[in-house]
Amino acid sequence: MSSSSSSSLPPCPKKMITLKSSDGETFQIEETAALQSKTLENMIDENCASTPIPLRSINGKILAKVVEFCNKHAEVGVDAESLHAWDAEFVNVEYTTLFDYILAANFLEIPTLLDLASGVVGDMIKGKTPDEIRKMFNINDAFSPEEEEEVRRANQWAFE
Amino acid sequence: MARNWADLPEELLRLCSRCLCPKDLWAFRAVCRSWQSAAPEERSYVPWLMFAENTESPCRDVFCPSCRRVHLAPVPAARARRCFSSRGWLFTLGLDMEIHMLKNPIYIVKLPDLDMFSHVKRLPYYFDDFDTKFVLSASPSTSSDYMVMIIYGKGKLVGLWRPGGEAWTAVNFPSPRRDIWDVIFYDGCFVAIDYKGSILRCDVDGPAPFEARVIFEVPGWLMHWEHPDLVKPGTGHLRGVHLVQSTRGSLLFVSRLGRRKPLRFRVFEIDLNARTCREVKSLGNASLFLGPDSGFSLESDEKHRIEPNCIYFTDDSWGHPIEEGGNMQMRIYHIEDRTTKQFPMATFYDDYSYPLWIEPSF
Repeated sequence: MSSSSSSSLPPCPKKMITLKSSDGETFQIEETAALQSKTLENMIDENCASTPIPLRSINGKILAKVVEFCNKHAEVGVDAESLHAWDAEFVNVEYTTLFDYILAANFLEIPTLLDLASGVVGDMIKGKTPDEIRKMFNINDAFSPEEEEEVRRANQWAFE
Repeated sequence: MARNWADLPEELLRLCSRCLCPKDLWAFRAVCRSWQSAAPEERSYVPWLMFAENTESPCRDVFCPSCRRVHLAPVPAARARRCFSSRGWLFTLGLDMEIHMLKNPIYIVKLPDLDMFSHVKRLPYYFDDFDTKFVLSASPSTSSDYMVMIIYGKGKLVGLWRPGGEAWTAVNFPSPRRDIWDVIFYDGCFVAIDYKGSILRCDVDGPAPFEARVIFEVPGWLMHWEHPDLVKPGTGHLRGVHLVQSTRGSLLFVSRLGRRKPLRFRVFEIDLNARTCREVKSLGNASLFLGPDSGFSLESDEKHRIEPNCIYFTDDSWGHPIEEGGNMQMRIYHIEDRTTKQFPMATFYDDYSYPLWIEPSF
């Protein structure tokens, strides 16, 4: 990306912070991009971001993607439509990855990522039966037949 | 590493269910225990449009604006009965005068029959009960201290019922013409507007609970609408008047002119204490849902395809074929540019019942 040189101001040195994943990988992220995370923002405000920030619940694979997401969303001059397409591609992943995105976005408090990932889970559920949903997400903690009948009865108006 | 979707924290599961329509929310709740507790039963963000009756079936077609699908809702109690709605509940009235109030087939309350009015010997003659309304003061799902008002035959007879009551208590609405356009429960009182533009209030907890008083006359020009867009400039005939509580809690007076073209809505905010009314040019982020018997307002919601600053209204000209195909059961009026969009949906209709908007229930 070409940067504008018309400004007479001296280029501001980019402030970077370092994040450390649960499996020991480190990632550099610009402070401006990191501000999308309320958790990181608080740490920056409290001057706790000068040393690598350990994120014990997020592994390197997921953290790399989260950093990529924050960088993309901090880019200037991206039009809404192409960002939307980029987002759609970003969450076009396995269910397990989606699960990790949701937990990471929740831990780091990144509302845009949380909304995106949870919304895509909602979209996957649309139009499916409970059985299909269980299979899709590999959920074994189902109801007993009696409980299921009760749920069905109580929600009859939610349309057969 | 195994990821157990059943163990996802409740608030995160709730986020995942946020964009689901009532039908999909049912499936979501039926997945497992933790998913069920993440999505409380009474929660739904989507209004439903219940279609006119198909006499052959104990079910009604329900259109969901969120998923844009027509679902089949089993409502055996509504079979061969006229339906009305208030605060997410359905009221059914049959030729046998029986009245039922229901949320879904298992929450059903029998109310006193239509002819059971204290101090009223005979039901006044009224040739058409399309203009009957039921108004709930609160949702029985969330409060046991609720009241039901029935307005029979445009206000020929008005009655009040509280849970446990054996009969309807007649309420006197001293309206000169006795014809009532609309009634809502607003700010602790039942508030009505009659054909002359008088606003009447019945303070059911006050010293005269069964006497309504005229508290405000809306300006005459509001009831006889002049509009330059009319084909023949001059005085237009109002097709409908609604009282609706806005999402911000104010009282709205909504008038509709014309059936097809031109079709215009105007919205006014009425302050009953200051006795003033002012035109509302934009509903901002909210929209109104108007049916023949009730109206409500909702915040717009992109996830559920509820547009802002619109009036969703059901058609009152069923039985008339439409050139675009399908029956025009629901239309959307955009306040900003005053255009009307059609929502043609091919479903059964008849002259005995009409499509109803059902408020999302909480």
